[in-house]
Amino acid sequence: MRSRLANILLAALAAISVVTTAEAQVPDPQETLETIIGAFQKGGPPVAYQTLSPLVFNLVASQTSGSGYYPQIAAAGPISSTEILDSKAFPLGPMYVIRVTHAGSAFASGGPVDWFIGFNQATGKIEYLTFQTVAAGSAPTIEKGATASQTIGGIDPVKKLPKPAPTDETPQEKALRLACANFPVMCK
Amino acid sequence: MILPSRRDVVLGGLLTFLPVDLCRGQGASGGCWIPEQDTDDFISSHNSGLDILGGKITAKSGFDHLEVALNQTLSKLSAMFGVLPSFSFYDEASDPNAKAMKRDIIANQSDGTVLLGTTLLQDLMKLPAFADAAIVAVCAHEYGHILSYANNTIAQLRPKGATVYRAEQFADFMSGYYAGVRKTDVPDFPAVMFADSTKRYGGGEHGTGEQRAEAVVEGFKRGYIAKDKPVAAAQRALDFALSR
Repeated sequence: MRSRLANILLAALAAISVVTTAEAQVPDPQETLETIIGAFQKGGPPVAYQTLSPLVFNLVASQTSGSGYYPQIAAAGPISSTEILDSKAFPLGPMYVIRVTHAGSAFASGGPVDWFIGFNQATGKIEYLTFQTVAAGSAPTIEKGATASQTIGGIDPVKKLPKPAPTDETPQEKALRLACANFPVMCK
Repeated sequence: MILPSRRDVVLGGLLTFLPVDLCRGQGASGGCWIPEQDTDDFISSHNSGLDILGGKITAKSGFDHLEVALNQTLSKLSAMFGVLPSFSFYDEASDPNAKAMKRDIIANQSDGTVLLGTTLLQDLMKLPAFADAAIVAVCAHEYGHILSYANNTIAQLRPKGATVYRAEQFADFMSGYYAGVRKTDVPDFPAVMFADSTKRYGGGEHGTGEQRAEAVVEGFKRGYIAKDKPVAAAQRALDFALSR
């Protein structure tokens, strides 16, 4: 009996260990986004698409007839900067709003582009990915969600995600969290 | 026992009470610097000279509590950078800015003048968080300009005909260096807000927000990671700016 219980406990510990390890797999959101945008602009390399979850991978494949190439994203030109505007932890994993500025001509309406990118913390894969042009005067937030004008990835997933747990985060804490996401070396 | 608030830590604390007039001879801030040849024009356009209270250059910011705390920060900047400029506020109206100039137009005794615009100050005070860090970042930037006058590197940073870009990169680097040293002394010092707030003021010859933030981050590394002494950091700042 004792041996059986010990085995159960060991299995539970192993499961916790796996989850802990998996949580550490969530990659740097800005680097990951830059990589996948680069892939969308060139239609490769294939390894870049391995950051996508099967759902998003299949959606990209269906939207691009299997090429992985988005002409309107390619037209934006190389990325000149990225900035995390918002982030939230969800049960599935973290989600970010990242403003991407391109060096070349921008998307249809011009200017920078706001991307919503969500990760599965157990796999480190992108579960949600969409972008929208920047609306004047309003900073996008995860609470408000993406407008469904142009979407790659989960279909309207923001509305279907559970509400993040309310936090007591102060304006100072939020400002610090976002600044540290943009300049991590200054927060070590 | 009265524990200092976070703002007191950022701005230097209230332990040293100095009336704001004594800010003169300390040094400060900014966003812009004024070449020596343009100083007379600037002074006349701001109706000041030494008539500080009657002109657009003023000893009062409108934020009494801030002024008291700012004094100690300016002392720290003076000590770290080894410069002693005068410091005051000025009404820059619709052009939020701060200025550093080689000539001391206030006390005629030190390493130039730093003027912090009251409009810029009001803008910064409206930030939802870390207004104090943003103000100190501006001050540290202006002290960086003063340092470039004092160590005569300004001629390299902005030779005749060149833009002010490299001089601004030097000042941003030194602002980041100050943040790094302060974070070494006070681990929860919000150094990252120096880069964050500076990035918001990109544009024109100052460089883009990204270029400005990069200079701040590189300076921070020299203060916090490499633990450079100020003279070595200034040399790094010069090398960095000239490489841009």
